[in-house]
Amino acid sequence: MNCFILSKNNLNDFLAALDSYELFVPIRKNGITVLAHIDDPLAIKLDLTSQPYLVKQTIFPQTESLFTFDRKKGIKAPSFETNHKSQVVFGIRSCDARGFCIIDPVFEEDYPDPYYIHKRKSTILIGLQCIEPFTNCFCTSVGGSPSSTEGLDLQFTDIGESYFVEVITQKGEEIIKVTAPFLSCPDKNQSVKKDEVKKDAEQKVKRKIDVNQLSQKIEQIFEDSVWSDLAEKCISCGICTFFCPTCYCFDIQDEIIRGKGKRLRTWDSCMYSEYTAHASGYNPRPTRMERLRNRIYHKFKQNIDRYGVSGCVGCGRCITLCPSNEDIVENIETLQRL
Amino acid sequence: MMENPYIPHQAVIDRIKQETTGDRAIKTLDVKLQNNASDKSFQFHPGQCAMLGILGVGESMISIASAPSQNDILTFSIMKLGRVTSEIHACEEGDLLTIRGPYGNYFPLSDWKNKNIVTVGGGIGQAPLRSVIRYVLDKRNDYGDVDIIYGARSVSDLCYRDEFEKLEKGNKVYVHLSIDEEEEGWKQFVGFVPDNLLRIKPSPNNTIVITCGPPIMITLVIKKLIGLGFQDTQIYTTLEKRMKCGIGKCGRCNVGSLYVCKDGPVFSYQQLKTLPET
Amino acid sequence: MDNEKLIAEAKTVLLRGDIVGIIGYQKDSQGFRVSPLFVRDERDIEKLFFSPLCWLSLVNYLTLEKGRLLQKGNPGKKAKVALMVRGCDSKALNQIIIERGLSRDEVYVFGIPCNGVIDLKKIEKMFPDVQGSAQVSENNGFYHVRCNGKSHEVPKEELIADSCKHCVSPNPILYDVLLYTPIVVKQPDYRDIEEIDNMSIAEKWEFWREQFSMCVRCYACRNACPLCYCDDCILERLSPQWIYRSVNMSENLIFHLARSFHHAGRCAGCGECERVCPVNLPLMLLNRKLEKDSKELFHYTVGEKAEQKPLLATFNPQDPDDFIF
Repeated sequence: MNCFILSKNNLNDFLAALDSYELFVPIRKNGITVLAHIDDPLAIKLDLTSQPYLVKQTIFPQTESLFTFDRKKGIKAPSFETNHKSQVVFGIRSCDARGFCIIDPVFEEDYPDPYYIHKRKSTILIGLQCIEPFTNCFCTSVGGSPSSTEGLDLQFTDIGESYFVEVITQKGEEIIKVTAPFLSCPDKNQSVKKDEVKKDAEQKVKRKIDVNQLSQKIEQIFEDSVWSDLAEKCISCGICTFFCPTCYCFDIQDEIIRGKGKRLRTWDSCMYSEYTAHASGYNPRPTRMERLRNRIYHKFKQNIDRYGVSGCVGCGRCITLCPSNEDIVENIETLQRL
Repeated sequence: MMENPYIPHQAVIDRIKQETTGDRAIKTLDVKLQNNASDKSFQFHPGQCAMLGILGVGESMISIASAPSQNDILTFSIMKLGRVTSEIHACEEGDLLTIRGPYGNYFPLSDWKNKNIVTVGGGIGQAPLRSVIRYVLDKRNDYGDVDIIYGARSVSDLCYRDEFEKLEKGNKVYVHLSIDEEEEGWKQFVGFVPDNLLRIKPSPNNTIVITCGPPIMITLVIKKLIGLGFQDTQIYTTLEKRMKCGIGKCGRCNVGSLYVCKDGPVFSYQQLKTLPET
Repeated sequence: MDNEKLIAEAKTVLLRGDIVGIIGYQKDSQGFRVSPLFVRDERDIEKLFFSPLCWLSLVNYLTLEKGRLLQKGNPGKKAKVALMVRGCDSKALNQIIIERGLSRDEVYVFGIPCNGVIDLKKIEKMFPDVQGSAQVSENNGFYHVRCNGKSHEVPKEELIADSCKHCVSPNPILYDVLLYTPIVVKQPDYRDIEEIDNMSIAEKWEFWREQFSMCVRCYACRNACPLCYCDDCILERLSPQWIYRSVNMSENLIFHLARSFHHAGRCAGCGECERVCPVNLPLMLLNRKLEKDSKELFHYTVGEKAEQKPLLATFNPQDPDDFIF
């Protein structure tokens, strides 16, 4: 693996050198940290300490036009030719990168989704090693780690005065070529420090869940009344699903004015009662119990059955943001204890 | 270059037949694909569905009710229930629809050669069964006895009435119709479909049963079939779910580890038993 | 605020036999968090508590899932539910009752005079990395915070929820039993609303444009609001469709304006919408603007009297109509 050093003083210059890409960086807005598209990296104040939200927007936008149409003339399909600029998403965490890897097979299998695949291919992900895992993180329990490079093209580790930059993929190499003037070679001390930081971070992940045999357990206790107890305080909003790096459900809607319009897709949530409501009025998941049970089932069993990997990356955002303090770590503990 | 599975083909409504009237009226539409989208992309098998839609309104997943041998024209029976189906009902012959498909798995009819086929349908559930029946009639000598058990709430709720009359006259199949409550002039069975099934008592010997209809009916039918000695692998049904993309991406039709739009809608009872929430 | 009276009342209430359960607050094992507690038998009663950390409206659970809560244990037969109700909650509950969403005899109310609750985001920012549970009590304009084995005195203004700063109804307007002592009522303060009123059109537009482009249409504000209980919510209706599902500034703007307008003369000021919003939209500004307008135009205050009629369901010949000829 190729490695480099980037002095912290040069970070904004590094980003400015990426002017041939659409650049997304974490900035503070309204009290949260989001990945925002910016034009001038030199004038921007980055937030690299708080947990970023809605990273998946950069590859899987919340609202996306599928095609436009004119009732008289027909459909105009979008072209995916590479006239579009590639994009660089800087400052994401390992859990977000793993999140993309987990939803990739959904969009790639059977009927490949050109919207997602094109964006995915033309996006370069630059990760930031977590120094201090966040309050509700439990990534190490579900196959992840604050140091994981899965899904990343470059990983930055803060080693004090500078960043230790690791090149993970060929796409990462492309970035190095463009930003070479600001990079130097690491010495042994810096390399050692980087390893220390990484090891430290893994130990600091405070919360843990026991996923041993969890998949089978969930199937066994599917009809148990415990699910009603777990779901009692849920208010059926979409926060956990929208902020989850591995949730991908979407709705398809048409918008039309005077015969012209578009068909678009927009994020949807299995926690809404409308999600499975049939036009006949029948709803296979009428209450919060069925929906909460389904969500846990999907993350901790279905994903494993279908794709061989847990659907949860352990980022803890659902716990942090839930209005009713539904806590997946506590919920899994309760289920395992049964 | 990757094909875009969200882009539909254009199709035109060739013929409309009003099957039933009322709040949840059913219309049977013959739909013809336009331009060069015909033939190759629409090779389908009985049990499969297509996304029918109207630009500006949306799409709805509907079973294909015609036989694969019926070239160019696809038949759909559509109940007026929600926004999209209401708009489709408001269409006239010559109007344009969009179509995507065929989607889903299908009844393994080639595995069932030389077997007896029994279809048990209720209401609009008869639509995918119609495709099966027509396919079997196309290859009549490949199959044994064919029994069609079909019922609806009342005479005016029965679909394909004229077709059944022709079938009975042709004597290639046995047709057993029923309605839920007594009506003047009705000489056939009065009662629910599962009860009619019990009365007819099909033998499990070398027989496959396919049942489609309201969830309650399916549950009872399966129960009675087990009681009659049928194995899990001899009973087939279709699952209905709310669908949006039809290609296993939007997540909506998921049950267990499967997507009904892709891995279904056809399931044997043996498979159904392994799925949660059913 | 000691919890003994609360627990004693709860025990008495459970023995009554006609009450299906008690909805109250419990302290979470993590940090400053508080969750709803659904008490159905003796075992859980001791967990009930109240403290300045209880920023959560329990009234919402009465109308979630169309009254199933009321039927639990007695399927098909409605029974009473007891619940802990703060000043603002009582206004919301009263509003639902006068709108006939619930009837008074379906609830047994533990009235809780409330001197304001703490904004969880503010206290978690001030005290990050709390190990185990933390407690907060109030005394003389200060919050006494106990966490990580240490105690801290923090002035109320630094931690109190914004919606509580403007509270003029700390005492429940309806209750079956009043726990704790009533609190002196403040006068309304609309200076923050006037500040926005005084902005130019361009400034106002920019302010709200920036806010609404953050909205992710999670519907948490609507789901958390005790007064959003319509079976067929206009915000998600498809036939006819009033608001597109696409998430952009334009549709988000209409979403929030529509929701606010549907609360004119109804909003109880509990601040749930602001509490739950993951992107920190200042939604109470909209609601309080309409509250101010209701006062000025129609001399109507929500919760003034328990038996008052809903504002938009009444007509007074003296109502201002200077915009119609």
